[in-house]
Amino acid sequence: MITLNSPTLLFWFSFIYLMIGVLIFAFGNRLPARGVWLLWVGVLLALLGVGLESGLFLREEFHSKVWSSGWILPKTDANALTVGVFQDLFGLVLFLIAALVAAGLLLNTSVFKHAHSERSLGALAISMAGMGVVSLALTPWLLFVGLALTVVGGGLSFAAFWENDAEAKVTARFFWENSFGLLLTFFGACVLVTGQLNLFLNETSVWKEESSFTGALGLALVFAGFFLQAHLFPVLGWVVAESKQSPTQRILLNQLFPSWALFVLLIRLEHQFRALGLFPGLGWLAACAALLAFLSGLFQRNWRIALGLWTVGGLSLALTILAFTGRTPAFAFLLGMSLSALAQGNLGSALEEKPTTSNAVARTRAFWLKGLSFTAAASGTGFIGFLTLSGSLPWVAKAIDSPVQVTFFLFLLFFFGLLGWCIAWRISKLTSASNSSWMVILSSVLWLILSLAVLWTGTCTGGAVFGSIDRVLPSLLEGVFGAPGMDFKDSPESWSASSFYWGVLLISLLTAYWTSGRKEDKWTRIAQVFPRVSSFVAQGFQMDLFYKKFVQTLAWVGRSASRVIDGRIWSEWVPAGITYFLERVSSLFRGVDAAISDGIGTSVRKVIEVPGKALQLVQTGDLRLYLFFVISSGFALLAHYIKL
Amino acid sequence: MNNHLISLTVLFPLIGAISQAFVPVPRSRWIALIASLAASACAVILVASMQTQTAEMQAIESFPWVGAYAISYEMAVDGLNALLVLLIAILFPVLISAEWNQQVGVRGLHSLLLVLQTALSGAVCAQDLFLQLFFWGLSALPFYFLVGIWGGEGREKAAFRSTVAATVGNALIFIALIIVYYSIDPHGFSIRELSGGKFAGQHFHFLGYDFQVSWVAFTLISFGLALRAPVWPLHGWFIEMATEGPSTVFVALAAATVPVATYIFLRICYCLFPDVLGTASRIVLAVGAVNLIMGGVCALSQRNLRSLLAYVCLSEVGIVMMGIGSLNATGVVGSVFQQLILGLALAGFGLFSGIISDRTGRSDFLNAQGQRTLGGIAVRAPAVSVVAGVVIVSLLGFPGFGGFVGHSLVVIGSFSVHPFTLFMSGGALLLASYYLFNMYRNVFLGSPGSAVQGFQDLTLRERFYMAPVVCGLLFFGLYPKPLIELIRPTVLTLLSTVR
Repeated sequence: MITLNSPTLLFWFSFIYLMIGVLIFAFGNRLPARGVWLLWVGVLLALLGVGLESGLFLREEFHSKVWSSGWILPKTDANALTVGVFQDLFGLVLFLIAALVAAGLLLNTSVFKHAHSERSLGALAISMAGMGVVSLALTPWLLFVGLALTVVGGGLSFAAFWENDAEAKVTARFFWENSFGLLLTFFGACVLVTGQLNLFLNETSVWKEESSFTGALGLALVFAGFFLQAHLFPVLGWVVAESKQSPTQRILLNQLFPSWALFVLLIRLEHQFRALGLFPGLGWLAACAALLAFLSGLFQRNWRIALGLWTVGGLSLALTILAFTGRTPAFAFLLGMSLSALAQGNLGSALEEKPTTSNAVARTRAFWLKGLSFTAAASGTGFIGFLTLSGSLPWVAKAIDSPVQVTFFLFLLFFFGLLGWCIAWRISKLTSASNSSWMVILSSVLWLILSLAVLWTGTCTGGAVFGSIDRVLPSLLEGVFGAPGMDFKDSPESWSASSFYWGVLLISLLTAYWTSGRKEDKWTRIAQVFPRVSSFVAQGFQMDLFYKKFVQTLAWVGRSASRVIDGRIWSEWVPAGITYFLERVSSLFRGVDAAISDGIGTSVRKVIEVPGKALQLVQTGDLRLYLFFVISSGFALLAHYIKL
Repeated sequence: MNNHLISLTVLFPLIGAISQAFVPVPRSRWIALIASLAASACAVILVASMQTQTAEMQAIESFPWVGAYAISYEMAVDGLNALLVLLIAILFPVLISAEWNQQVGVRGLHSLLLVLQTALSGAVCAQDLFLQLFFWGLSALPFYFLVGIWGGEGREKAAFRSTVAATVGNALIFIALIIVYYSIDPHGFSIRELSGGKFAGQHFHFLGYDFQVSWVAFTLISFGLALRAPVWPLHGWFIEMATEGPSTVFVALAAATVPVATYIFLRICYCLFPDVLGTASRIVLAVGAVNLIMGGVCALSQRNLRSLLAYVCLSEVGIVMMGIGSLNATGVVGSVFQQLILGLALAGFGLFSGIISDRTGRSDFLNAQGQRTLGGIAVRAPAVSVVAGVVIVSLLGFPGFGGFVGHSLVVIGSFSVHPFTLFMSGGALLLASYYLFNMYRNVFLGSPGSAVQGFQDLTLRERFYMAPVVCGLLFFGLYPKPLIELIRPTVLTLLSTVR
C-alpha cells in the first residue's frame, strides 16, 4: 500500500554519505584515522535508518512512502523531469545491502593501507551515497544522479594511484566508458519522456500500445547503457586492463555499484520491457555477452582480471535471468554472484600478502583463506544452500521446455561454473602462508553469510528441494517482490531441470580441477600452443583495436576538416581569393581610370589646342588681324544669308 | 517596474572605463572591479526582482533617441534575455579579477573589458533593432585591441580576421535592418512593434526581382550572426582567436559574445520572422546538428587546450541551435537555459586552461608525436583539478550539473520534432566524453611532466573568481526551477506566435 509522506529519512542519510565522502576526500589526511570512523558512522546511520523505516524497531507494519516534486519544468508539464523518493522494501533491502557490503570493505583494512587511503575512503562514501539515491529514486532522473555518483565514486577510487600513467589511463577509460553508459541511459529516458510515458518507478501499469516505438527505443537505450556500465562485451577492454587497485575495491566500486544502479532501473521497468516484447532479444544478447566474458576470463593469466571477467559474465547472466525468468531470481542471482566475487577478491588479495617468514599462524591463516575461497566459489556458482542457486535453478527450470534455450543456458552455466572454480583453484595456488589480517577473513565471512539462501528465501537449500519442505523462515525475496521466486514443484520437468543443473555444475567443477587444480594449468598450456588465439580472446577479442581505428579515423576526419577549413580555406584560400579579386578589380579600375584620364586629357587637349593654336598664330603675327576680321565677317554674312 | 536598473547595468562599466583612465594603476584596478561589480549587482537585483509566470517585458525604459528615424532607447528584460543579463553579470567581474596582475597596460585591458561589458549588456537588453545593432557592433571593437595588443605571436592577423568577420556580419545585419525598416509603415525599429509576424507576405523589388522581406532579412541576419556565433564552417577566425588571444579575452568571446549572438538570433527570428521559422527551423536544426558533430569530431584531434575549447564551444553552440530550431517549448527553454550554462562552463574551461598556460608556459597537452607535455597537475594542484572536473562533467551533462538541465531539455524538445537529432546529440556527447576525459587524463593525471614541476595550486584571488563559475554550474544544475519559471512563459508566448 502506498501512502503519501514527507521526504524520507534515508534520503537525507544518502546526502550525509555524500558530505562525508567529500569531506574525507578533501581533508581526510588531516582527520584522525583518515576519517574511517566517519564512514562507520555512516554505515551505522544506514542500519539505524533502515531499521526505523522498515518499522522493525517499532514493530510496525511496513508502508511504502512516496514523495515527488518537479525538478526541471513544472510537474504537470508533459515533458517534465520530476524527482522523488520511493521507499519500498526493495529499496530498503538495496540500501541495507549497499551499507553492509561497504562495511565488509571497511573491515578489510589492507584495502586502505596505501599512502592516499583517504581518497579511496572518500570514493567509497560517494559511491555509497550514489547507491542510497538509486535505492530510493522514484524517477529515472533522480536515479541518474545516484548513478552519476557511483560513477564518480568509482573513478575517484583510483585517485590514490593517479600519479601512475597506467592508472591514469585506466581511470580515464573508466570515466568515459561509464559516462557512455550514463549518457545512453539518459537518452533512453529522454526518449521515453517524449512519448509522455509514465516514468514513475512505483507505477505498475504498462504503457499504451501507441507509444510502442518510443517505448522500445527508450528501453533499448537503457539496456545498452547497462551494457556499458557493466563493461559487458564489446567493452571488455577496461576489465582486462591491469591496475594497482585492490581487487575487492575494484569489483565493488567500479563494477558492481554502477551496474547495480542500472540493474535497479531494469528491475523497476521489467514489466514495461516484458509488455513491449523486448526481453527475448535483449536476453539473448546478454547471454552471448556472458559467454564471451567467460571465454576471455579462462585465458587470463592474472586471477584478478579473470575475477573481473567472471563478475562481468555474472552481471550478463543476471540480465539474461531477468529477461527469461523474472526479477526475483535475477536479483537473487545478482546478489549471490556479487557477494561471492567480493569475497573471492578479498581472499585472493589476502593470499597475495606473503609473510617474510613462514610460521604456523600464517599457514593456518592461508588454510582458512583457501577454504573460504572454495566456499565463495561454491556460493557464486550456485551450490546448494547459497543464494545464487535461487536465481540459476529457476532459470534452467523455466527454459526446460525449449531445447535450444536450455542447451545454451546449460552451456553458459557450465562456463560460469568452470571460470568460478578455476579462479578458486588459481587463488589457492598463490601461497601456502599469508600475512593478512584476520579482519579480511571476517569481512569475507560476512559477505558469505549474506549470500546464504536461508536469509533471503527462508529455505535452507535455496530452493533446491521440491515443495520448499526445508523452509525455516518466511521468504524475504517474496516480501520484496511480492511474488514467489520460482514455482518449483515435484514434476518430471523439474526433475530434468534439477538433474541437468547439478550435472553441469559437477562437470564444471571437475573440468576446473582438471584444467586449473592440478600442477600444470591447462589454460596456460593452451595459451602457449595457440598464442595468437588465446591473446585475441584474453584481450577482450581485440575490440580495442577496432575502437582505436574508429577513433583514429574520426580524429583524422577532424584533423582534415580543421586543416582544410581553418588551415586552408579560411587562412589561405579565402584571403588569397579575396586579395586576388581585389587586385584584379583594383587593376581593372586602375586601367579604366587611366583610360578615362587619357581620354579626358586628349579631349581637353584637343579642345584647347584649336583656339590656342589660333591665338598663338595671332600672337606670333603669322595670322594678320585683318584677315581674321575678313574671315569672321565672311562667316557672319554667310550666317545671315543662311538664316534668311 | 522601472527603476533604471538596466541603464545602470549598461552604464556603470562605461563610467568605470572612463574614470579609471585618470587614476594611477593600483587604484584603477579597484575602480574597474567596483564598476563591474556595481553593474553586476544591478543586474542581479534586476533579475531577482523580475516577476515569474509572465511573458511581459519588464523594467522597460524607453525614450526617443533619433526621432526622425524612429530610433529609440528602448531597453527591457523578459524570460529570453534575463539569463544572459545574469551571465554577463557573473562573467565580467571574474574576467577583470583574472587579469588583475596583468603587467602590460592593465588600465587599457580593464577599460576594454568594461566597454565590452557595456556593449554586451546593451545588446542583450536593447529592444530596438538599431540600438541592438549599435551595441552589438560596439562589442566587436574591443576584441580588435584586446587581441591585437595582448595576444600571442600571430595577434595582428587574428585581430584583423576577427574584425573583418565582425564587420561583414554587422554589415549584413545592417542591410537586413534597412530592409525591415522600409518594409513597414510607419517605419520603425522597435522589436515590440515589429513583432507578431508583420512581415508575413511582404515583398520588395530589387533589380527587377521580387523578394520576400522575411526570408531576405532572416537570411542576412542569420549569416551576419553566424559569422560571430561561430557556426561551422564560418568559424576559422574563431579558432585563430582561441590560439592567439589571451585566455580571458577568449573567454569573453566564447562565453559571453557567443551566447549573446545566439540570443539575438532567437529574439529576432522568433519575434520578427515567425512565418519563416516554420520552414527555416529545419535548416537551423540541421546547422545545429552539423555544428555539434563537426565541433566534436574536430575537438577529437586537438592537442591544445585553447583550440579544444574553441571546438567545444562550436559543439555547444550546436546544442543551443538545435533547441532553437526545435520550435518546441521544451527545446527552446532548454536552449535559453543552455546559453547561461554554456557561458559558465566555457568560462570555467577557459580560465583553468589560462591558469595552466600561464604557469607552464604552454597550452598544448600533446606534442606532434602524440606524447604528453603536461600531466600530473591533479597531484600538485587539486583545486585546479576539481574546477576542471566540475566543468567537464557539466559540459557532458552529468546529472546535478548545469549541463544536464540544458541538454536534457534540448534533447527531449528536439527529439519529439525530429528523431534524428537524438543520434546527432548522442554521438556528439559520446565523443565529448571521450575527448574531454582523455584531455583530463593527459593534463591532470599521471606522472607530472617537466613543465608541471613547481606548479602552484589556485591562489586566494583565483579561488575567489573561480567560485561564482563553479557554484553557478552546481546551483543552476541542482535548482533550475526559478530560472525555468522565468523563461517558460516568454517561450510559450513566442511559440504561440510561430504556430
